[in-house]
Amino acid sequence: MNKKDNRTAIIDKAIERVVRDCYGKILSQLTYQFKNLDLAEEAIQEATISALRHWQEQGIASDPEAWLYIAAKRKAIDIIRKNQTHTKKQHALTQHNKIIENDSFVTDNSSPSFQDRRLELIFTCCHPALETSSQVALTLNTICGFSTDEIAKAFLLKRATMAQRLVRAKRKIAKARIPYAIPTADQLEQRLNGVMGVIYLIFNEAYYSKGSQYLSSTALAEEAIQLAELINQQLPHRAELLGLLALMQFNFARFKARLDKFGRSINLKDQNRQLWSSNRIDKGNQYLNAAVALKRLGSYQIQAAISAVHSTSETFEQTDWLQIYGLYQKLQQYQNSPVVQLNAAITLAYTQKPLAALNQIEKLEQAGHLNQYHLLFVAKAFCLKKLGDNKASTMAMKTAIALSDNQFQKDYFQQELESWFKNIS
Amino acid sequence: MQYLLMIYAAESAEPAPGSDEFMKLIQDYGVFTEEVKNAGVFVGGEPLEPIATATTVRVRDNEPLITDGPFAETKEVLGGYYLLDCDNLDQALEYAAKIPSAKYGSIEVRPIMQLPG
Repeated sequence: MNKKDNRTAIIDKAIERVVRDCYGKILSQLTYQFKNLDLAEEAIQEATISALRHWQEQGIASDPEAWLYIAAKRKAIDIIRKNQTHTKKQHALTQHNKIIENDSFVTDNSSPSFQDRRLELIFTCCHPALETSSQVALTLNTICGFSTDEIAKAFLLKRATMAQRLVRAKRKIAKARIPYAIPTADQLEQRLNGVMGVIYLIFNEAYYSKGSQYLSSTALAEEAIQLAELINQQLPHRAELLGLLALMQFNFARFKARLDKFGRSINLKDQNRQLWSSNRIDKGNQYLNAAVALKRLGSYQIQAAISAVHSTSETFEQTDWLQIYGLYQKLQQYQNSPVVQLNAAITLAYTQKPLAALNQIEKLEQAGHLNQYHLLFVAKAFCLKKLGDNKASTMAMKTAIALSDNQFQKDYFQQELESWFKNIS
Repeated sequence: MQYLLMIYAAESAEPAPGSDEFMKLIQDYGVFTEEVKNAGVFVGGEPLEPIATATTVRVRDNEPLITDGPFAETKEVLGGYYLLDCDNLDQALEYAAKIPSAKYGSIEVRPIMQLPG
């Protein structure tokens, strides 16, 4: 590569970064103004091409966000001019000229003072009239500026499948006229719950990431946190949103410790706690304190509190299991799934009540929801071991090994079993 | 933008005509219709006679084929509709949730296609 090509490549990279950083903000603003997501996307695409051409020659503009915004807006109006019939065009142009005249940008190029409309677009993307998987994909595509290709790879889907999912969702937004607006007060809470669900899905996708070699899982997790922070700025003092932020920070703190060098996940018990980020844990605690002070408890806050107990415990053995058990009891009031019940039971075993724990686990097994769930049998094996029934414990662990669909996990359970009974057999 | 709000419910789930619940349902529909009319969004809306009165027509090889009832296997049947002119989907969904039958049946909300020209 010669010097000139090299320079071009560096500038291309820089431009790409600049565009991605302000993509969601500009897209949201244009969508809000023109009430048309497709138009806004097309306009930014064309503006980006212009930016590449201009900035390659003259260097990146001093205020790239403002530059891109103005360019995209002009492109949008050009596109409308091209597409509309004559009479409609007259009307539309008067409307859009008004948008331009009213914009401080045109007279004052130095200050990017346009209002952030990302929250409106987040509510559009996470509208319950769209499928959950589409909500996740749309949010990543429009607000975070990830390409179809990147999202497809992150979710291990074919590009064509993801492209179709996005096109369908965007078509529904346009045809059914899903608004670009923050929901009314009486709908806000329910809709915000939906948005938080999408954010947590994105975060968990990053945490348990399988597509990490394509779209860095750290970047994806950061996006999820940034989305929640963005909402928190505009809709502050919401206990569950703060709880979600706390939960994500605590989990993010363990990011470096969660995988071994082969990318396999490591249990909480075996993680190197030196690798946990104390900075993230501090942030998590700040959010959690702010959330709890609002005295409106909910499941994200309780999950965050459970995570907080783990995060502040120096070793696995020193974990305050009694407190965690209490929190799981509380969590069941908000989210009474069999998995939460199982977790509560496991905690009970750690509080030196293995018999009570075993009873609960067997009850869950008999209820039938989790009788194919490998972790139920690991928990059962653990309780039986504590109760000294080594034979039944071994049998339960063998069931867990048979039910697991992951060779690494099977090996891990086998090692665990051997370490339990190495001095006995 | 116009939306068709289609009211689906199992006829067996509806209160029997003449019962107190039935009278209450009729009254609730009256209140709802009044509300959408006052809000200026009402374009049309009617209840339908029960599914037993339905006849289905198909034209195959230019021959009309007439049969009794719909071939629907589903228990929930179309029992009526409202045609509303709303600002956006959220407004339409808000009204849909207020339709009395939504409590035991379901309301399908579909935008009316906007034809060019």
